[in-house]
Amino acid sequence: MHVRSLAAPLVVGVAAAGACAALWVANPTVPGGILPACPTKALLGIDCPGCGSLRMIYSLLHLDVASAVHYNALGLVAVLLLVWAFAAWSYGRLVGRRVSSWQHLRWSAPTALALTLAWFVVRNLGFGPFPALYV
Amino acid sequence: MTYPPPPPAQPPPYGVPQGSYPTQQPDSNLVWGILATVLCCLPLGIVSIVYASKVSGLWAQGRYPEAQEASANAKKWAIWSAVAGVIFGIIYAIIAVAAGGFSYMSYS
Repeated sequence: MHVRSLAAPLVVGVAAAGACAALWVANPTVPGGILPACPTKALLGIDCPGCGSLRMIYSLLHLDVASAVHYNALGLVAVLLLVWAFAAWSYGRLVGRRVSSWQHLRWSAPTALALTLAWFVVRNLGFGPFPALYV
Repeated sequence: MTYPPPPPAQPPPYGVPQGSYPTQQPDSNLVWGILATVLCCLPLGIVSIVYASKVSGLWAQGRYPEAQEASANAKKWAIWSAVAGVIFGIIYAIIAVAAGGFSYMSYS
């Protein structure tokens, strides 16, 4: 056991929990709240791949998965992957060796790049079913 | 108090390229790039993912210095993305407080 090496995962976990608590209180799903809109949206008026993420996490905290998917479906996938990476990293610190996770796979980064760029485009298209993706 | 002398340096194992290159592929820092992109600082976060996606390809081709450089760039752009997000948040907070103060003065 390497209990002391769990300090770093603990700091990250506490920071994430604090951010979630602040998000819960601030409620970004109501317009005009204290949380800022994404700079890209504020300046250019378009959805970036991360737009809607705060509302997505807020919905997720309230176990409203349907709303979470609506606000940012790819962001939801990213959050799940990030939780996975965090769990693998924490476990690796505990057992004292490097634990491989999805981000170490050969095609993870190119896939993430392609998905992010595709998501950036489709949620800004103004025809067909795509406007439903604009938040 | 005296300390025991440090153990002699291990000779590098046979077959490992000599020089400053690590024997393990550098981290692509993909997690940080995705984190930066999801938490909303678009152009910089995507740049980080672009560099992250180069790391393993360059490493597989034996271009070790370039792979390390791509790894470092991925980390650098993720950090700049976070810094830009914090700066934007601070500016937003200042404007919000100022606007709130003005509206309070004019409507009270």
